[in-house]
Parts: sequence; C-alpha cells; structure tokens
Amino acid sequence: MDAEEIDLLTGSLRSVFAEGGADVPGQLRELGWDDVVAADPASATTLLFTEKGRALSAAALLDDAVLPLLRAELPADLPGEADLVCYPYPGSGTRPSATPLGVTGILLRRPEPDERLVIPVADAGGVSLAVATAGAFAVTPLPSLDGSAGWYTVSGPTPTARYDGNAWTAAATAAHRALAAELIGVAERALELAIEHTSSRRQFNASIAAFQAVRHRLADGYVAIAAARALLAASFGDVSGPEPVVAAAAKARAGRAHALVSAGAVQVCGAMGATLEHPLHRYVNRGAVLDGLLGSSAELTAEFGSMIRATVASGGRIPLLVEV
Amino acid sequence: MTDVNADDRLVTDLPAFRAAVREFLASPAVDKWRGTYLDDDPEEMRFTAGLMRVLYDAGFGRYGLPAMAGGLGGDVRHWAVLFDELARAGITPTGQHSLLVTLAYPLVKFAPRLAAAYLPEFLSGDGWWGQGFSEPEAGSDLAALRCRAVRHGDEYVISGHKIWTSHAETANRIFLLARTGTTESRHRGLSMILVDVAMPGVTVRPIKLASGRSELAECFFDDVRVPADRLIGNEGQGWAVAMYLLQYERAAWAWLRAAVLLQRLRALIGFLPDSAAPAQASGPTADEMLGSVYLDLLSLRARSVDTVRRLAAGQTVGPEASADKLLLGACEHGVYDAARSLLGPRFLFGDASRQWREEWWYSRTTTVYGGSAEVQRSIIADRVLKLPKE
Repeated sequence: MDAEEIDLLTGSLRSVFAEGGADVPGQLRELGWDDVVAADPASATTLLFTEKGRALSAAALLDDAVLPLLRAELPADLPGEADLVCYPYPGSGTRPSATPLGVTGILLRRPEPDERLVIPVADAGGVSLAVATAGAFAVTPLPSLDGSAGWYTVSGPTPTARYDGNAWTAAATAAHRALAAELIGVAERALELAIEHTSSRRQFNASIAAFQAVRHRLADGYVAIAAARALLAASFGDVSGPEPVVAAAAKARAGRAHALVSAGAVQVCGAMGATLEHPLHRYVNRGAVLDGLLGSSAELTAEFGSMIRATVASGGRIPLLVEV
Repeated sequence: MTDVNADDRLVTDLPAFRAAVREFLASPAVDKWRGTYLDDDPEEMRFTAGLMRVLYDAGFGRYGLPAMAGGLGGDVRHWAVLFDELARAGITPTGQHSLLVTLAYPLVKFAPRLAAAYLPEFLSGDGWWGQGFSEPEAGSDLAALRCRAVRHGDEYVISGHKIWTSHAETANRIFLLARTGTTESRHRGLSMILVDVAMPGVTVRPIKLASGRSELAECFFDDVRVPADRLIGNEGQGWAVAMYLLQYERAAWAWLRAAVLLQRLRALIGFLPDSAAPAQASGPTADEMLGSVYLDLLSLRARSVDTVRRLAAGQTVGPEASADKLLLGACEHGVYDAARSLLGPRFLFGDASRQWREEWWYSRTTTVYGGSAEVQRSIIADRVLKLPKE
C-alpha cells in the first residue's frame, strides 16, 4: 500500500469511526473493507486498529479479525454461526481462563441470548474449542477502569462437546497484532493531546513544551511508540523466527508504550489532565484495559524472560527474530 | 552500492551470503577468536586485527563495499549479516569493524580516491582509524569545535586538541573534523581531513576509563602539515560528511552493538545460578528483567532493520533515527544493569566477572558518546514533534 492509498483509507476510516456509532462493522462492510484486508492484511490491520484506538471506538472489531481463524477449525455441520469470541479473563496471559470445570471470560459486546460464543478451553492436552449460545451463561457488564469499553463477563458450565483448538495460537497472534495497533493508536492520540496542551499552555512566559523536562518526556513517548510500531511491522513478515513470538513482542511493547505515554501525558497536562472535562483520561483508561487483554505487557515480558532462559538452558541460541 | 561484481551470487543473495559466512565461521580457522576477551585495549585491537585478516583472505570480510575500495560488492546489509553470524559463532565483532562501518561509506562517497588508496588496509586489518570529532570544549555542541586547519599552498596546517577518540592509541589514521572557517561560522566552516597519526606533530595520549581500560584517547595536533588532497569532500563540507557518516553509525553500528549485546545476554543467562531467584525480595523477578532487556533488543532490531534497508537502498535517514540511538542506549544500559542486578555479589567480587564490571562501566558512556541521549531527545522534540523551541 503506498502513502497515497494509506492517506485515503485513513480518511475513510476516520469518518466511519466518527459517524458509524453502533454500526461500525456494517459501515466497514459497505466500504468494502474485506477487499482491503485481502489485498494487504498487514497495512489493513494496522490502519484499522490504529484508527479504532485513536477514535476510542468500542466496536467489537477484534472478533471479526479472530473469528474466521477459529471457524476454520470448527465442524462444518455446527448449527448456526459462531458470533462472538470468549476471551480469557485478564490475568492468565494468552492461555484460556475457561477450563473443563467452568467457563470464565470476557466478551467485547453484549450478546443476544441466541448468539453463539466460541470458547477456548484450557484442557489437559492443550487448548480445545467449545461452542454454545450466550443464553447458557451468566453475562454481566464488566466494571473496569474504562467503563466506556462496553465489555461483559461470561461465566457458566463448560460445554462437554469440544473441538480441536490448534487454531487458538493463530487467533491469539492475530489478536496480538490488532491489539498492538489499537494500543499504538490510543497512545499516539494521548501523546498528541499532551503536545497540544503543552504547546498552547504558557507559564513563566513560555509554552510549557519549551521546557526541556517536558520536551524530553514527550520525546521518550514518541520513541516508545516508534519501537512498538517497528515490532508490529516486523510481526507481519520481516522475521526469521515464529510470527506468534514477534506479535506478542509487539503487543507487549505497545502496552508499555501506552503506559509510558500515559504517565508522561497526565503529568505534563497538569491538573487539567486529571479532569473528566479533558479527554486525556479516556485514552489513559482505554489503553490500560486493552493492555490487560490476552497478556499484559508485564505478563508477556516475564514470559519472554522465561522463554530465553529455557532456550539457553537447553543449549540453544536466543532467537534474533528480525533479520536484514 | 551494488557493484561490477554482479556474477558473484553472494552480492545479491543475502541468505546465500549468510549460509556461506556461517559455514566459514564454524571452521577452526577462527577458533582463536571464539569467546576471547582481553583486558588491554591495544592488545585486543592487535589481536582482532588477525581476525580482520582471516576474514579478508576468506573474502567474507570484504562484502558491503565496492571493488574500488577493496571490497567485493554488496551493501551495508552484508555487514549486518556478518555481525549476526560472528556473534552466533561466539566471536565478538571487532573494534575495527565498529570503526569501519561508520568511516568507510563517507570516504567512498566524498573521497573515492582516498577510499581506493586506504580502505583496503582497513578491511584487511593492517590499519584502523579513529574518529576525531569531540573536543574538550565541543562535546554535545559539536559545531563549536575549534581545532583549526589552515590552508598553506598544497597543505593544511592543523592545530588543536581532540578528545574521546576511540581506539586512537593504536589507530594509524584519524578522520578529523576541523575548522577551516571562522568560529562564528559554526557548522558551515568545518572540513573533514584524513590525518596520519605518524605525521610530525601528532601526539596521542590514552585515557583510562573508570574501569581502568584505555579504549579512548585524546589527540594533540601541533602544526601538523597534511597534504591538501587528504580533504574528504570539499572545504567547508565537513558537517555534511559528518552527518552522512552519522547515518551509518545509527544503522550499521547500532546493528553491530545489538549483535554483541544479544551475545552478552546469552552469556549472562548462562552465568546465572540455576534457580535465578528474584534479584531482590521486592524487585522485579529475573524473568521480567531479562524479558525486558530482550524486548529492548528486539525493538532496536525491528527499528534498525528499516534504517539499514533504507541506507542500502540509497535513501537518507532523517532525524527520526535519533529514536534508534535512544533505543540502543536503553539496550546498552539494560544488559549491564541486569547483569549487575542479577549477579549481585558475583558482579562486585571475584575474577570471573571482571569483564562484566569493565563493560558495565563502558556501558555508562554509551548514552553520552555519538550525541548524548539528551541531545537525541532534543532532536526529536525539535525536528520530529516540532515542539516550541527551548
């Protein structure tokens, strides 16, 4: 995708998110977004989710990125479509929080009782998939730091019929990329808000952004976002190692970039940044809950540490992952 | 910078080049340099010169530069592959390499005749050159430098004082950035000149770092007469040459450091006690600390791969490359701070961690040299984020 196409699509996506309201998925279909994804999945995913993050949209677009991968593993004669993904409840990394003993998890939107959930289940032998209608579970709004995210918790008995869950790794990889792009969008907008505030607000006869302590904090935010962007781009292809690893790295570093930008932005926006009136808090909160989904930056970082230690202990080399 | 040598598959086929290098580095010919570390910098430079010669004779140390400069063709990506493969084979890319990948390209571009005459000695390990930029009164503010080069007929007469020149104690030439205009002309009145250390009037004095190792030196120029044809680029073009050089420092040299640091991270993990319990009762666990360092290194490589490829494709690298430099600084500090923290008393005491202690001190300089971290942040604030000026 060249720069001109990217600009054009960015413009279209911005109006979809600005005007789409509850029907963002419908408007994307109208825009022919599926064709854009088919032609250039890397650019399409990056653009869509970055813009979603910037717009603070609560549309359940992650399901659309993940479901096709899971559906491919499900039997063709299942009655009805799979409509929503039941994501692991935060705290278990990318491993499913549902077990044979019971389902707990997160839905990105409120399901109708007859809509069907795909539930990854942590089994003794790995991950399996279960499918059941939402009506079989208790579904309640999830109180969180970000009330506007529109997420729900789901809990109930684990269905006995289960299917091959090999696709879960690919699904988690797709989700990591999408979430990384969304976190980058949220962080980017938060950084812009901080730049706008500090460039216009004057103290001691100067813009706050003219003070080195403020400038350097904003520059560090830029660097963290740039690093996450580079990892995200690498996760789509420029790798010699397994893609899931690079996608997880991108998610980890996007979450970290968001946390770093948030901390800096809240500080340099002064008391204004901590008010309900100023929009900054919405970006701070949204990124924080996105970071919690499918492995937080802290969880994934510790997993990377444990992975390279195990590699070295078995006489292996630490993967370079990115090569020229 | 592809070349006449187009029938050589290794010029165009990078995976084939990687495979060939890997096979060569598995041979006993390079065993002598595997896992070696010498306390004394001049001794180490003379030792690694032998490796430069072996790589040159095998051909693998000549890719990345055109034939006119003693190379076998290819571009800066060939160096990136060589550094990865050296590190993989347990061989640290040499001090010569770190200087070569930044100095060779500006010489080829701005002084092809000098490149043809002198780069072969550099490639083959017969000589190596220092980078004479900083001065006692011009560190972060490089454009304030005062070392003068005055034209007298066919010569420049150089007088002044350079400091923090890497490996200058053993270098045979110096890439000298000197003032040919007025002091007020700042970066417009500078010129780059290739000076021989053996020329009368040059004195080099090594500087011991806090670790006791003397990797850096200061150089005094006392009316040194240098032939005018040693000018790199035109008179007054020194800043442009330096900025062109800096792109390679941000790309190829950063790649070299990332390769070395990954090698050191592996060594650190191997050196940890098996339990690798949390470093401190309340601090981050070993896993979090090592994972964070590894992610820093992956971030740097992901960022650097784009910078390296852009240079290889003949594009220029803008102010956003300051992000690469900051990421590299975080990696340098991260690896050695993790070593210090996780090894605890084993870092502080005993002969086995002498190298860790020495390198920890050196790592403190990495966010100072080549434009301090503060300068890089200001470049991003000014030129990328376009914030109001200080």
